[in-house]
Amino acid sequence: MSSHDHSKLGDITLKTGPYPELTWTAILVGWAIGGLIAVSIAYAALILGFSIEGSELAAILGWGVLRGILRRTSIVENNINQTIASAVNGASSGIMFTVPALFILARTEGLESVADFQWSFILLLIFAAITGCILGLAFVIPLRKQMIDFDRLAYPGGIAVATILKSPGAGTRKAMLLLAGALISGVIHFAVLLLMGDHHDWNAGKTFLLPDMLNVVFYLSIMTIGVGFLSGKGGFWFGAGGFICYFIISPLLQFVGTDSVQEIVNSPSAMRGQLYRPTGIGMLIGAAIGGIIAAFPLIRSAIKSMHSASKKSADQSAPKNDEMPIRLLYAAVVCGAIAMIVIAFLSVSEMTWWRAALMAVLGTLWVWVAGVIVAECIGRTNWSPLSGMTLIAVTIVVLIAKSGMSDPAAVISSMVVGAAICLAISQASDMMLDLKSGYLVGAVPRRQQFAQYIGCWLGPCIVIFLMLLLNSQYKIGSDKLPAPQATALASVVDGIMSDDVPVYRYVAGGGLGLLLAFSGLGGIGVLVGLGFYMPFNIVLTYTIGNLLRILSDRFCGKKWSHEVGIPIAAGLIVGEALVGVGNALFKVVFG
Amino acid sequence: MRILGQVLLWTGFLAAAIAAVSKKEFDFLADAEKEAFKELNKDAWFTKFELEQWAGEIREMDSDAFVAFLKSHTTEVNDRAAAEKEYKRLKDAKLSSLSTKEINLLSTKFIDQFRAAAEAREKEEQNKKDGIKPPSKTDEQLAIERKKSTRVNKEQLIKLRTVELPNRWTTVRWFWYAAAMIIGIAGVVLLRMQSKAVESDTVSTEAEFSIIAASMKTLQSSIAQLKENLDEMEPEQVVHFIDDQCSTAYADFAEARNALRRKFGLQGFADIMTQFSSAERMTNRAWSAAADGYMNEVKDCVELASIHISKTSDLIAENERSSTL
Repeated sequence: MSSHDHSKLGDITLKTGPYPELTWTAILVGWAIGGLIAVSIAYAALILGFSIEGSELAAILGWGVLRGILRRTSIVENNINQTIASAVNGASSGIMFTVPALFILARTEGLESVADFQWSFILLLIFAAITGCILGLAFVIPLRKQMIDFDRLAYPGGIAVATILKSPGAGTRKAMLLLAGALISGVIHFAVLLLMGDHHDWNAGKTFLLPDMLNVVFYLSIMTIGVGFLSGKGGFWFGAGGFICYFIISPLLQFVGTDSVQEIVNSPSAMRGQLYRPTGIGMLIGAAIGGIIAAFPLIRSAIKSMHSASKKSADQSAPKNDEMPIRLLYAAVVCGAIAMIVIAFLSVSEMTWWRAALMAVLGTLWVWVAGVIVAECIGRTNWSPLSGMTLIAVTIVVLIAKSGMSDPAAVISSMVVGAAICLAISQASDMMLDLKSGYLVGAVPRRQQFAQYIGCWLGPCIVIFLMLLLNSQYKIGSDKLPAPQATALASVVDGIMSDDVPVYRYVAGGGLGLLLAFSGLGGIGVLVGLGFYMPFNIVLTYTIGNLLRILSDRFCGKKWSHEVGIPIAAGLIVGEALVGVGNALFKVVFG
Repeated sequence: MRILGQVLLWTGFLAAAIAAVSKKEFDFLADAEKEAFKELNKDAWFTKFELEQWAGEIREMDSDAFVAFLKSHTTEVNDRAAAEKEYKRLKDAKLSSLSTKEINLLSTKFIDQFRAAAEAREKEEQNKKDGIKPPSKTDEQLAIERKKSTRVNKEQLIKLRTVELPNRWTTVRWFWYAAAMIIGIAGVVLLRMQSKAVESDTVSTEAEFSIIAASMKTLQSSIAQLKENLDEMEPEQVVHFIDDQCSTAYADFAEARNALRRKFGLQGFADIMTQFSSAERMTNRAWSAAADGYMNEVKDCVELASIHISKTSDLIAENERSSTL
């Protein structure tokens, strides 16, 4: 930033006293904003079928309430506010995906009893969801050092949030760049929604007469370009994963695939749904396990430093107060696992202790693996394979539950444990994203971690009661509330109950993920796996952002990328997210 | 060796990926069933309700019965798919917004579908005007509606039919998969050997390490300068100073950090990065506190950042000494 820009910072009023961070104001505002966002996004998600990341929205609303109305001036206090608000909102994506599936499955022959919600069951469901949140956070917090301090993952969403939080002090120029980016993407997204509706793709392949199998379709989203820019060259392999599928494997399959495969080669959606997506899920799991093994010395070192930090209370230089006490996290994991056993056991009367223990132990282990996967994916690309990870979680628990129990009992117990796991994974990715923004504004990780715990219990309480209310009013699964995500999960559960799980492709994908994880090219397995898993239209648009970053670093210099490119890219994310939320609310109210 | 390693890794990876996805469950169906399926258009569909009405348990039917079932409905569902395609084309041409009166004047093959849609729309509007609320539906009615609106397309029907085939695991060509993985593993071994060679290649490591050393020097002097002059500085000047004097040095150090891993091993790398990251975070906090006007906090943060920078420097020196021993 030039000195000219700094002259525009304006006079900063000097303040005395401690720098406000984890305050009651931040907590109360965080709860209020989080509750508001959670209700809005959960309701919209039941209608539209997708949930919206709430961190940027929480940061902006917090900025308005804390600075604008309450006249409070602390960047790190607003950071705590957005951490709490996004923790509350994290429940909406976790619960919307799982629990409404029970209402929908209840309309399947033979499963009518699965949505027979008694008060005891509702309380158990809330308890399960909160346990999931606690477990997910306890597993992911010790990984902060490895992912943020050592690997320095980008977390594009975290950068966007930090840019918003820092905007009051960053000078007029950066604030204007952020605003310009938001305005451009907001206007463009509005125009796209107006002209093309919710499915806004540009089939460039058709325009330029390219073969269908190459799947050259761009997702018309400026936000996605912004995310690609913020990820930089670190996100390159994500794009490469998509190109490997549609530019290399699909053309080769025309010659070496069986007749039935050749028949669908020119139908990219069928190729993705039937072949690439399940292989990608397997790759993500294999790469994550390989990554954990490869990074084990670093993880051990990070945990060791948390142990030693708790001992060096007299040494001012040691990062003693930086992290939540590791023993507390161990206790949370042990108590969480025990609570999961009790929850699984109490979920249905047919449950035996050993089956409950097996479901809980495997579910808890999966929380750890999946937490690592989503935290890494969000860190490298800003996309989380939450649905794929939940699918595996539900598959694991259904397979345990269905041998020896009636179908309704297997479904109920699996969905209760599955909801806990889904929330755990969702909280884990949200925590890491918030810790990254915290790092960039200089927040104390321990305070953010406490803030996440302070916020995470509220979401399940709000969202579960919201669903019960909506179901009694409109019936979830009806035309009024189609709940597409939960309907998809319900059909998957239906499929698993009928043994329709492509385990062989998961296993083959797992091997491919392990191979890349051990290649020594950091994080490549997860990224290529995510490229297999995600729709290629998003990957293509994301790649534009990557290319722009590489070009701007090269020709305009890294300083320009940091000073100009990043605020604009963060603005691109914010503008489209806000128009997206506005569009969702408009549809809900007037649709 | 690096290029050969990369070639082997990616050849193995691609070949294994192809072995994993080059076959489908459909390939295991009986020939007669395959033929019957081929008669179905790719966009043909049944509703879940129809399947239950017409076919009962699809997966349990013997091959002849299943072929007979498919053949008896092929024409009907193919025509329906074609009609729907045409309907969508006309709908895109805005015909769907016409009133029943206008539709009656038109002559198209799909007039009934348009008429039904328009009638339903007009009835709904009339009910709204009259204040008549649609009757609430029972769970059974909703279940039937859902079954009627849940489509089972050709692929899902194939899934239903193939889900219990005993040889589904051979959908992946395991022999070729294993052979390809061996090639990939050979690539990984070569890449690992090469990366060990790079680690011992002092020239490239030292080149990167010199960036770290230079960044450290800049950071030490900048933070010391900031600490020294803090009492005379305005908050704006602190923000300005950190942006101009520290940000690039932190970024350069972070970019070149892998030299530490190669030079001092994972433990040394982790120890140094722990201190370095704490210093960077404290500097970021000093920036935020200055932007908000809390100069006491800035002072504390700069003090801590300075301690962490010194520790980083000490650890680098310590590791250098032990690596040269």
